[in-house]
Amino acid sequence: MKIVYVIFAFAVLILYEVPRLVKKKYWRELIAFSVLMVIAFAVSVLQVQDIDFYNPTEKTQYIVKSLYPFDYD
Amino acid sequence: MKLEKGVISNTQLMFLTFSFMQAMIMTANFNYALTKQDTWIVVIAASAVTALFVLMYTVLARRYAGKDLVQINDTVFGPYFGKAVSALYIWFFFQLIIHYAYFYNSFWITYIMPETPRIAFLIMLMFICAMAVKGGIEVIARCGFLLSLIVAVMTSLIFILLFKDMKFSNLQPMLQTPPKDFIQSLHIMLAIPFLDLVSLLVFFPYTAENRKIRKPVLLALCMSTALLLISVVGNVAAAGERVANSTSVSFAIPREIDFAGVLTRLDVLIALTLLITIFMKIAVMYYVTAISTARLLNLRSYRPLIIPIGVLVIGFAVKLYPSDMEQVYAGKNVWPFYAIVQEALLPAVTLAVVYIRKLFQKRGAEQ
Repeated sequence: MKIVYVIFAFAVLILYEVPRLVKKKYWRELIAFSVLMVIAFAVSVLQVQDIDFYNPTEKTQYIVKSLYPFDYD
Repeated sequence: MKLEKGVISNTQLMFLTFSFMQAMIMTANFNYALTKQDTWIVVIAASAVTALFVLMYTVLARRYAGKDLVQINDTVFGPYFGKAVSALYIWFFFQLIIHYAYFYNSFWITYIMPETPRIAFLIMLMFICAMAVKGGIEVIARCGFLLSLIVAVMTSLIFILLFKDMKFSNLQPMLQTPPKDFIQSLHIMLAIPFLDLVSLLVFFPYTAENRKIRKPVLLALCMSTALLLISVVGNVAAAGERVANSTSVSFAIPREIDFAGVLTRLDVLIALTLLITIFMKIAVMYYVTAISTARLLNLRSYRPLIIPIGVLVIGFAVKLYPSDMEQVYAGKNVWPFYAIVQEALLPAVTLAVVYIRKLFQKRGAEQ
């Protein structure tokens, strides 16, 4: 059921933004918007379905930290 | 091509920076457990180091007046490698939004409204931040002026009301912290609240006087250091030994204010401070991420990126860490190592490349 809400929310956001971009013929911006929205949709679906996934925004810091020769632990 | 039509005055830049840095009142909670009564020394040391870094950032900004971070990278490192460096910066700014959003969310869920679904606060926060970003730099700067004053007044008010509970002997013994803890605390203090001033490199081109940026930023740094000192000294003096045991000292201590039985439960002021400061932090970072991405991808406007970035932040930030204590651990032991790369290392390398190039150009001209 939650997934229906997600689809509805994304539909509203797309309907809000895309017509303006098409009207102004901002094609490059439309591509950037679509790519980011596809990623955002995938992340949202994984989150509402409670599927564990590799969260790059959490893991990056651990990867960079492992490159240092020292730490505080 | 200018992505932003708005221009802010240098006074507005000062208040924007002041407001941007005020979130340090909340993030200082990472430091209390490490340095306890010596935290105020860490604050002063971190502020002094930050002043040097601000000079470095402004040297870059003045040398390339009118260019923002992505353009500076393109000029210094060339079009391809420069884009890669800019991408590192943007990824860092994007993560900052997510970590602050999680920080904000976990505070509200833990202390104020434990039954609420995690996503509820995030949606409201990102919605209001998106509105600010859509308004552009002028709107954010005007918010900064008003909100920075509100936070300054509230922090001072809490200090005054706590005054009768304070024992300044709690600040002793001085300088008893082991050097390792002191260095770690300084590192945290620099990496989390102070040195994210690097994001101001995106704002400098939109100030009215591109070259006179040093004074407003340094003034804002002094003001925010003073405010943080008030908060830290007040909290440590009132809490004593207990600073080491609480996860949110700035929130736990004002709870004890009891002014003639009338003014009680003033922790709500701290909750408001958190709301305001994190809003400003996220609004600025959100703006920086959106406008830098638009510049990197060569777009004509940054506004189409606002919605996707906001939704991505909500998606990632809901369950960023398995538990809130994980963030406290990461904030102390992991994040500072990562953040310092973008905040100190990359700007230093950029400046070094600029000077080495200049040296070679001079030699070329002499021959």
